[in-house]
Amino acid sequence: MVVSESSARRYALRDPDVRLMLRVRDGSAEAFEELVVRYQRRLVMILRHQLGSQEVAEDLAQEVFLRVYKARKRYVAGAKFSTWLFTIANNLAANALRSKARRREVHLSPGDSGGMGVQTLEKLALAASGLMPTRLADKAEMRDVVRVALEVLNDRQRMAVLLNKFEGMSYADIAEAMEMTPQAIKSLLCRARVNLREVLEPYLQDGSRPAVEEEDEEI
Amino acid sequence: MSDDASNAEPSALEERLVAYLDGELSSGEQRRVEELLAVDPRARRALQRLEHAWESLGELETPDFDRTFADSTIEMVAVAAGQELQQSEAEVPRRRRRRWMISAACLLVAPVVGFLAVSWLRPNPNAALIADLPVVENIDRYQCIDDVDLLRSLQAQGMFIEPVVGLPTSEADALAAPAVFGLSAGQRRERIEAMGPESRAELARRWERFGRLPAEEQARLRSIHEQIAGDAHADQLRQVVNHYGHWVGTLPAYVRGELSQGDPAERIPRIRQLLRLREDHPGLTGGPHVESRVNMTVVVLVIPLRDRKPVVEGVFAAVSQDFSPSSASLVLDEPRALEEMILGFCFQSGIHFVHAEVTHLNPMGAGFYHLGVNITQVLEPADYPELESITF
Repeated sequence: MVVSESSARRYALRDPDVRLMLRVRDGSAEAFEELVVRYQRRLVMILRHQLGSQEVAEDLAQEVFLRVYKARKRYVAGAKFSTWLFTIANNLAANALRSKARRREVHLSPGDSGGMGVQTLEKLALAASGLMPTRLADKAEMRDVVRVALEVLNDRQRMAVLLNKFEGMSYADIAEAMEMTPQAIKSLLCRARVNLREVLEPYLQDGSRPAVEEEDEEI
Repeated sequence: MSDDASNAEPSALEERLVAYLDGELSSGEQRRVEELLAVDPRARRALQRLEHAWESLGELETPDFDRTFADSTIEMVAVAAGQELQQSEAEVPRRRRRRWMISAACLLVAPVVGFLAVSWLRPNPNAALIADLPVVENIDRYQCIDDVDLLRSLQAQGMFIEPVVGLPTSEADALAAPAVFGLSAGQRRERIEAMGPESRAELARRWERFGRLPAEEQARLRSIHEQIAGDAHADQLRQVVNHYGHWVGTLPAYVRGELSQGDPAERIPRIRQLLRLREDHPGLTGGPHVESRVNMTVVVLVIPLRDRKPVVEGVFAAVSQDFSPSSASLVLDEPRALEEMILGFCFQSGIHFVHAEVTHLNPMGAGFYHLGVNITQVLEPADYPELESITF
């Protein structure tokens, strides 16, 4: 990536994490530790919801930090540090999801849902609706329904939602992290929001089972 | 985890509303959407439906976090750095190796030793607290702040650089000391270690409160801190945070809600007006002295009262039309026979409850009804255990 000197200066001036990363580039272990401490929770959270596994998320987050360290000498301040970090995270998460998909192709028999997706949502929502038919949903049930609703989104929609919702990233920053155009991100997030509404609304209104159509096995 | 794009096709209106909610519209487009929302109940409903589902994501759990994560990550990187060193050594021609070794030792071994020293000699069981220390220590202040641009505008106009005259000294000032800004992880650790028992107990309470916040709110507070710490005028912004946060904390919830809306350019005159009122009337704590109305469309949960107790089974949703410091106008989709009630509404810092008494109920066309209420009291949820089950 070609970055002008003025851009690099601007990012270094505005973003304290860019300044930390520049110190890492110059060999500061303390600055690296600071970055790990600052981002570990945020990174694991995004990866946890993107990949559906705490253990895998922690492993992948460590891999992200390792790549940051290995790339330190080539680092130039061409974006906010968080955008750069989540670009690496998005690429690793996409690879992990592709590997997971390939493993499912080999191991799953036709019709096996693999434990995630629409059937799980329906079972969960059905169970929840039997227990709590009002808007005053039990928080844990609500959390489970929301979690599974998120998993119904496709991988790119879900990553864009997580970056937008929990990192507060702008369309432009998400576009950079996901290597797409801002217009594509706008469209992606709009579809994601509408999909979330369609899945969650029946539950939010009266605790009833979400009207989600059966899909073929996703992989 | 699906890999296929699902599903519902968004309408043009939904596309505009989503971009509006995300703050991604130009000021002209934003104004047009707001004009539409003001006159079109269908657009308002569409906005609320999108917003409601989106806010539900705040219910997602913050994953359990292994606090040794940072240590093991740093150890892993230290090992990788060591391997990098060995590999580089093997690739260098023998005759150049000695000279190379000297510089490589400086560049690579020192960080490795640094990592190992940090991770092994100074075990760090509170990595998560250390990471969030500046946010946790300033949690009261940051929760009062909706956007940093307002703080920047206040700082640029020289407002809140000094304490607001007449405000009592905050008990929390000791922990909100600006010293925590800009400290490294090691310095934060030392700061905690140097705290006395009372400060530690207060920090523990704040840490617990921070841990109970939804992940979205935690991320918002971290973002506020990072923007302030990274600002060219960070020192003055810290003062503005302290003094503005302290002042806002003394205002009634509905006035705080009013101040959380709109551009800084629109809010600052209102802030000046409130400050002047306080100067003119030192005993003023908000309320009937300040009677301007503000248009604010939020979903409001109406909780009927029976014998002064909330009837949570009877809760229903309405949409606010406007608020003043002592009253509110709501839009209902059917007439309701109520005399008094609790209203619950959500701002970024959480759900707020007020007690209200009905003044009038009028049909407003298209099957909707206009409910006027006087707000009589801001309620503490702790006083009404029934309200704990209310969620948005």
